[in-house]
Amino acid sequence: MRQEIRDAEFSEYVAAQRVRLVRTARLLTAGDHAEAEDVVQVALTRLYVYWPRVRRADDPVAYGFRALTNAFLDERRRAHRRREVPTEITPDTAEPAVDHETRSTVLAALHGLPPRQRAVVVLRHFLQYDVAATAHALGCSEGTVKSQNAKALNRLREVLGAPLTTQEGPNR
Amino acid sequence: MTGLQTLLEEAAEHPAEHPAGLDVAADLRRGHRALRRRRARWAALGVTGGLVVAGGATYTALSVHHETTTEIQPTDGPTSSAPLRTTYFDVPTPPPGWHVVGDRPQYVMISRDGSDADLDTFAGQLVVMLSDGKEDYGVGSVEHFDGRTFYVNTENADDTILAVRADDGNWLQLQYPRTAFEVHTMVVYLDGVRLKPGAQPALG
Repeated sequence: MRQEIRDAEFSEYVAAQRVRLVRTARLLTAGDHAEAEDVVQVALTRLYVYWPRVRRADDPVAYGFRALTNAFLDERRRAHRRREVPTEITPDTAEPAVDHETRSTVLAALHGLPPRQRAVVVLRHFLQYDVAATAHALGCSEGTVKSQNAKALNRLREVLGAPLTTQEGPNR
Repeated sequence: MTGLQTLLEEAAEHPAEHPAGLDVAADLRRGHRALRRRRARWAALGVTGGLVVAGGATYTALSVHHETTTEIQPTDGPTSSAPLRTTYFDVPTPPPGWHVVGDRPQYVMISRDGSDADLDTFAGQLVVMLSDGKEDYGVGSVEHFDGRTFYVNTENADDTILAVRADDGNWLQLQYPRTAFEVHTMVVYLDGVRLKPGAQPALG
């Protein structure tokens, strides 16, 4: 396809989706801003390279979040092979006034989850994907999503020390 | 009671806290560079293939053909139930969200959609492999399906490797990320793999 068309469509996509991608990446990385930005850049770069496939996808937005999740899991896998120790959560400076205590608590709780469980929580409860869409995004079975989600929620309830409500219905 | 979505929204930070997050031009530049690298790599692969052919005068035409790499162009539409025909293997349609990257005489590489893993990146991928029948890959637990015996090796930290005897006496194996699939799903998948002329076992 012609590069100017690819560039124009990709730019429009980035303008519409980048902030949401970054927010999602910050949850996936449990508040590691640098890694979140890296993951977003990797995902967007892949999207550009495979743009003809993205634009023909049934849901290009979902395709982007799938690429983001895979970029995060790839990075976690590489980190595991390097035997890296996860870094401390370090908030950026000069942020607007927000509830830092809540944010830190939730990010620390996410930090305690294995990467794939964290991805399930973010896809299911932040992006509000249903089980099937989450399974598709992660390339696994719906049963795996359900079991990983249950384990993650139990863990989050323990760590947060409070009951959690979710939007889950019987098939969500 | 606390809403998990509300907590996640708070933890993800409000979009107003990302003033520097939108640099479309920078994303475009990275995309341009990656596309150039990819095209250059493809060009280099073509040159490598040519050198192999030129240097392999003592090999038969068939053995030279084995040294080449085949790239399967990914499909974008809904997957069909028909087997995918690569140069050396016929494999069932990959699970949703995965696509065939390509094959060599010894293996077929299947990767997640959106991943830039190439034909030589094994970690985290689905890999159908043909391995030497003289090796002992009959280790691990056993699953029976379609009259065949599948061995389930979980010694690796992240990946499970299934093994079953192929018609030619070699081993057909399937490496997959353990947490991504149920064993039975992968057993059924491996059962659907067929060898084609030119497929060669990896040694050792």
